[in-house]
Amino acid sequence: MLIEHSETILAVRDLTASVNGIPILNGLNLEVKAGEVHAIMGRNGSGKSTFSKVLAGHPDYEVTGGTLTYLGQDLLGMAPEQRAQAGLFLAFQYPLEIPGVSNLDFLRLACNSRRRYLGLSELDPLDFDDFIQAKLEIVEIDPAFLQRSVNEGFSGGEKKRNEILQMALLEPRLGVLDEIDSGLDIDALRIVAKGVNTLASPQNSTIVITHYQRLLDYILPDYVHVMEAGKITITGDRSLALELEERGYAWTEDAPEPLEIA
Amino acid sequence: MTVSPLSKPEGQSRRSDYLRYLWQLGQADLSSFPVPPWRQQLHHQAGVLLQAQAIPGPQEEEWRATSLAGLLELEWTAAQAPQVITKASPEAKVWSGRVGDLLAGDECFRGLGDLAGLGEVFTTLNAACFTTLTVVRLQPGQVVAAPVELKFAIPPGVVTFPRLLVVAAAGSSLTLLEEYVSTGAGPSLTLGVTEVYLEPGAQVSHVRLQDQGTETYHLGRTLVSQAKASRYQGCTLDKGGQLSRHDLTVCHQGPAAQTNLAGLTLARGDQVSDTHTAIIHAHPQGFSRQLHKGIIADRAQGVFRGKVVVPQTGQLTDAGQLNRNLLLSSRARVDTQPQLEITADNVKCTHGATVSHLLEEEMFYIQSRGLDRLATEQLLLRAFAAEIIQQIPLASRRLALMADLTFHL
Repeated sequence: MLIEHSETILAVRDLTASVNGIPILNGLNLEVKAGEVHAIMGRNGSGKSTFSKVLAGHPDYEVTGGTLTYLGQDLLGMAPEQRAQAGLFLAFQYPLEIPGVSNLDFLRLACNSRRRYLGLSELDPLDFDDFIQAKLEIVEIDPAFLQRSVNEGFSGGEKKRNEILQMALLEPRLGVLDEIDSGLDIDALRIVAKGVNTLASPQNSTIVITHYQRLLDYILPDYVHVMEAGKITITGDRSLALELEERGYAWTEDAPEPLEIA
Repeated sequence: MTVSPLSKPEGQSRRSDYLRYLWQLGQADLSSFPVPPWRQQLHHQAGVLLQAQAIPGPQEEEWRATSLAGLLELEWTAAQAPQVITKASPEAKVWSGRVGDLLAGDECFRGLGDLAGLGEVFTTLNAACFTTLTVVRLQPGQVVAAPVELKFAIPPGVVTFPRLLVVAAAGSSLTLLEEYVSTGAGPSLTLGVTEVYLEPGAQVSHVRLQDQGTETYHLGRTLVSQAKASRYQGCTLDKGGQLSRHDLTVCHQGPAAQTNLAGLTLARGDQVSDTHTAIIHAHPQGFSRQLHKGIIADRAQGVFRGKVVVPQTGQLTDAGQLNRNLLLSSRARVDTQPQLEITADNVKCTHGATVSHLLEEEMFYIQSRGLDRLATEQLLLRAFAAEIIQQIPLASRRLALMADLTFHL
């Protein structure tokens, strides 16, 4: 939702970043305000996932220039856990399996680290049990999943739902969903999208990274950005996604400068 | 009479002299109490063999990965029996004391030494020198519900020869904790032998915890004999010792015996922790599963040699072995070697070994949920260790061990 004079959650200016010395992001600009949903689309290798990793602070991605400001704070000076505690959440394209760590314990540790940051009391295992029940319904996860090791043996759809469950528990200000639709059948996609929509509020914002327009039938973006060669080349509204679906990405290469269609 | 071995040059003669030095320390302790004839006989037999033996050197296959050179530098004030602290219900009938207090013809020690035959040098040395004995003997069909806990407390400065005999008669059931601790800082040398007999249909859950001081030398042997349809569950945790070596041999003496081994090695600083195991499936339809894990930090060294032997008589054996290691620093080392010796043609045997560091991608995933790097490392290491510790059938120990699991990376 677009809200006038709302707070800026994320401001990205001329961001450049590289992996193993190879430049991937080449001057990316983006501003995300409270209440907004942004979709970033683009072909494989355009830098979408790299951008999500840079936002979350992955150590393999080196920021070589530009600024990254989150709620007025310089993100580049913050460790991955500090970003998470401050309410920046990345839903992974490929959530990792962590054998031996119970999902329930992991979720409680994560939830409490965010609560500490917010000055809220930590939840003991009993309180957490109550707290999580309502969240489970949002993503339609069987409580039995809490007793298993984190993501171990989960199907693709179960892993993605577990990511949205984590988002529901952490109540982020900025949720970054990296290819949350990959590997999902239509039912799982609906559940995941419903979860994302339920969690959206005028205070927080979401960046949805995807290849396909299909996801945007369920999660309605306020802005659609096309990424090409490590920067945003076109910005538009939902109709841009439909146009991409119809015409493919090739025509966007002709755009010399970022276009404002909105 | 005591000889000091320390002036001798390195080499074969020094290693045989050092063995004789330990033997003489043991003899001095043994001769200070009355000794029954059966004990004299074992002592004598062992003594004859020791004449031709030496502390093993690196050229011996079984000791290729672990050097005992440091041991040869150490001198001991005396040989001394370990203090054995027993916690058991009266029905368990645990006997622990000086061998001289055993009456001739006492049934108590029947079976002693049958399994730990003489030959291997430290078994022979133990046979020549042990002065106290602990025996746990169950009657046929006896089910001891409460765990039997035996703590061997070893003071600094001495060499000690713990000896434990466990006999679980047909259809009996036992949970046993065998624990080694130091009573003070400083080096000591522990040369222990444990024999465990499972008669037909017996069930033994055996936990062995070695948590001696980090300057100590611990060389322990466990020998397990399993009769028909018996079930042995072994859980070992080695975390103490400057040098720790545990040799565990399980031999199936009847068909359809089941063995489940879980082991955890924790080594840090400049500790060396070596586990050698052998499971001998000498009868048909045997089953074994083994998972041994190592967490090796700092400049420490872990060694795992796991042998699974299936001779022609072991048809329809189902054996699986896995060794997984985590190295926490660039200077930590692990030496792992699964060894399958299979002659039978109709068997199912699997084995595997992994050595890895904590995975950066796993670390990042957890950190991106708000846990700092240290908490993330602890979470992953605890998870790795928990897979073994959770198998310890004593809840209080399990919790204490988990609470104690912190790693300074």
